[in-house]
Amino acid sequence: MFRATHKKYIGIYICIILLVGGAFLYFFNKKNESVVSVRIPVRPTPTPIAQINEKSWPSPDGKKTLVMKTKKSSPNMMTYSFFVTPSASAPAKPLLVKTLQTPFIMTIPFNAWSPDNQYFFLQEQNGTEKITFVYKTSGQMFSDGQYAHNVNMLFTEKEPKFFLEDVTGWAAPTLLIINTKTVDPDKSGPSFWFDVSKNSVTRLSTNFE
Amino acid sequence: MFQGHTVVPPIINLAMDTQDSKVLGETVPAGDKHIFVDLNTQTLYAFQGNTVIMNTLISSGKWGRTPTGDFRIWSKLRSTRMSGGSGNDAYDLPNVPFVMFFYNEKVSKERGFSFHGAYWHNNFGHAMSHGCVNMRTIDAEELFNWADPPTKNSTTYATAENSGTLVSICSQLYMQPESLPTCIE
Repeated sequence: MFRATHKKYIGIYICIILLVGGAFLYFFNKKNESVVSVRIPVRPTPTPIAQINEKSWPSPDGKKTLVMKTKKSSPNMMTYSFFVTPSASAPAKPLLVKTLQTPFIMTIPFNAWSPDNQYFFLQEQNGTEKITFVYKTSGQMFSDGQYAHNVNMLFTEKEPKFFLEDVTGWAAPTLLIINTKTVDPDKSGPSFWFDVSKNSVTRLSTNFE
Repeated sequence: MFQGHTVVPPIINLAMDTQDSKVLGETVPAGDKHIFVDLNTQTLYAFQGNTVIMNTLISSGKWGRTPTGDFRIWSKLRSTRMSGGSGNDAYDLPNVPFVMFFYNEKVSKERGFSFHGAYWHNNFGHAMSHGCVNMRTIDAEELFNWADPPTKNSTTYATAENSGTLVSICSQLYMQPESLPTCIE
């Protein structure tokens, strides 16, 4: 009879121990729930991508296109890349890459293309000041070893009495039309042809303003 | 030949011309077609109703004045030879593309004034012609395919049932919003 009673109490003691232990574990875990650490993936701050803008200008017959891509290389510097399509190489290689400091900008004039698509001219502008550069569409050098002709500089060397006011377009496949002012800036000067194949200047009897 | 210089005319193969050229004004609500030319700014505007569907630079008469007034297109030629002038201003130009002749009661058809592509110069925005309205070839082609009478063959004539598009050539134009411009002859 003593053993049966003992067995009964042992069972009760075991149950009590299990209950107390279980309760202890429950409350212990609940207390520590608020300090469980969770790993959150860190997303890196995206690196700003410089925006590339693009402008296309077709030749007058539509057979070629001059493409200008601009990219801001720093707060006050802009990089201009020029391509001609269709291109012999794939991907197309830029014919010209130029970086300018603001306020200078590069523009493609309406009459940029020569009538036979062999040349094109571009202008660097700062307000009313314009400098004209002419290039071969093939990307090859001119006979003087230069890839570009600075029309303003070449004209001034040959006609120092006149100020080049504007290059407006092409009279013929190699002839750029130049309008000028005289030394007195309020007076219109004569118009000239600038032959890009010979670096020669011809004064015209007709004004093309 | 133009201004004493030899020019190379484009090769035009009429058999290769397609009939399904994209036409100006396809997506614009229908309306009367009207071409305006501002001689002061050397600019051409093509209207469909009150909507501008083309705005581009042209070259009008330098050695021969382009007439002002209201005209009608009376014929369209895919290409033709043009020659004239004298001395240093003489010209002989084969395969002049996308030609549209216009006339009125004061300027007869025989005078030969037209819109057309010009492959011998690229100085649009400045007077360069002997009276015609020169355009870039790509612009002349678009205008040619849009203007009435609708192009049938390499040569198309306006008829009483299919009259040509109205053309107004003005010394100056005053543009107005959502309305046709005011033309000063």
